[in-house]
Amino acid sequence: MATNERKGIALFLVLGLTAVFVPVLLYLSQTGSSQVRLAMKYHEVHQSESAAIAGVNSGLSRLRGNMTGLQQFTNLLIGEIAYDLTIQPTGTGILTQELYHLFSKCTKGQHTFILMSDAEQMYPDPDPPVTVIPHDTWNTIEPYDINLAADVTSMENLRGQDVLSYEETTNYEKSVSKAAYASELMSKRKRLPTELQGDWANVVAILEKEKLAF
Amino acid sequence: MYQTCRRNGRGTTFIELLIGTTILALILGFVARWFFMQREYQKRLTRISDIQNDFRRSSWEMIQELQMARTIIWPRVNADNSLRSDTKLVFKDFTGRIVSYYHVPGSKEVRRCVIPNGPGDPVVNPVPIGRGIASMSFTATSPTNRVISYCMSTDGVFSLDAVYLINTD
Amino acid sequence: MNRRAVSFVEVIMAMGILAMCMLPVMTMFGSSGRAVLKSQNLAFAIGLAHKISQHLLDTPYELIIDVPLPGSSIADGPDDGFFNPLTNIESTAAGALRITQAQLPELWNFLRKYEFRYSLIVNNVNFAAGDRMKCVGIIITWKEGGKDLLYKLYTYVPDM
Repeated sequence: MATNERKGIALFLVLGLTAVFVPVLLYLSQTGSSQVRLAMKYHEVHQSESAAIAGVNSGLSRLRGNMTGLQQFTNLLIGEIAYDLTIQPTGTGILTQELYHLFSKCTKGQHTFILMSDAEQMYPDPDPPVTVIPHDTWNTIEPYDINLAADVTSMENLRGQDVLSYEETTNYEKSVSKAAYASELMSKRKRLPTELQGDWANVVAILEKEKLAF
Repeated sequence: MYQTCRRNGRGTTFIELLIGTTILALILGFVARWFFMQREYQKRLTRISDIQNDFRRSSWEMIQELQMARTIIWPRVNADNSLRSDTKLVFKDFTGRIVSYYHVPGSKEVRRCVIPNGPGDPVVNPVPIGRGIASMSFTATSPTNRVISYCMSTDGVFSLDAVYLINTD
Repeated sequence: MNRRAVSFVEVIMAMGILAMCMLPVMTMFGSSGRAVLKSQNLAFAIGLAHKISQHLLDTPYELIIDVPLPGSSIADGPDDGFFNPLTNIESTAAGALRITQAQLPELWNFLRKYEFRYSLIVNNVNFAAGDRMKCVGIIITWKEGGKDLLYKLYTYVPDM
């Protein structure tokens, strides 16, 4: 075999081996690291959610201490995770309680978690801690700025739609009798998936017992 | 008439061929065995990765909605305050609708059904909220009906988690 | 001499080079497997810590106390309201299943294999006069390939 032919074959073999091995190596290296990346993303998601919930609790605690007026905190820490907190007064209720919107936001990596809540701060009688009633806490993972008026309005509108739907549901519950309410719910049984039909009567019994009345 | 065959090194002897073939066969045998072992190993890794992804996705979907829900309707703790588990969960969501997550063992899915809290038909989500979940249980652990635990498992991979409902009815 | 064949030595050398090329591939298989295992255990630990944090929000304030390191084992652990008992498909406490080898063997095996444990570090925090709040650090520890690994999550629990 001529030397040139042998060199040609050897070169072909080397190129062939490289063309096979390099993609295999790249693929194998990515299988493991992609899973680790996904696990880290999951970790960021949970950390941001926990920090945002902690933020709401810290805001409510401040209100229980009779903190009043607009408050904007940034980079508060829980452990090593930073969160932002905004307490925004929105008016006065019929019992002269102060009304607030609470916003708590945590951004970790690519993930953002925001909680928005209503809070009613009663009049201190005579000293703190005052009674604070939070309700209708709502969440979003959109990266809003909780100190920007336009973003706050967007969140208020989106949450407001859901709160309105809740009011419609509660109005219906309050307007019907227990018997009619239970009958309406039981009538849906045959249209439910089979997995839900078995215990639906028990579910309706609980709903009937806990139906809102006023 | 004899022709003398002159050896000029142009061929391979039978012995050399035999030895070379045997060595090649041995090496190919080892390589093939290793290749098939690794293929099975990689299949297992890919399966575990897929299961983890499925668990993460369904966990996150459920957590986001449950956190803002108002009350757990089913399961509820037993009369003696002991915990109670079921393969389905029924709760009132943020807007007051009745929502259920339920496990379908045949297709290994967790599906979501919305039942209007008033007139209207139940609607099942066309896309399951969880796939590839061989077993799922929701457990009520508290008489306050504000915490629900859940456990998912498939092929020896597990996920344990819980959600506290921030809102009330 | 007109050599047209490949000699035995050349074949052996070529096979040696091939074997050397296969070495990084074989190593890569092992490390990708370890990474998948690591991510599986990390995701599981994240779920455990989150589960504890959610249960704490429903736990009576005075009952939230330290669980010092090295922590409480989850498999064969005490009745703690977080993990044991875990499930119950019956209508009385007699049907409650705990994470033991007899009652939940698959889960028990997994937890024992990696020795998952949890501990709690509880501190009082003060955002306002007269209001009580606890900051709870939840630590999940486990063993992997002889190494001790740890995952931490913090949460505030108000006195409601």
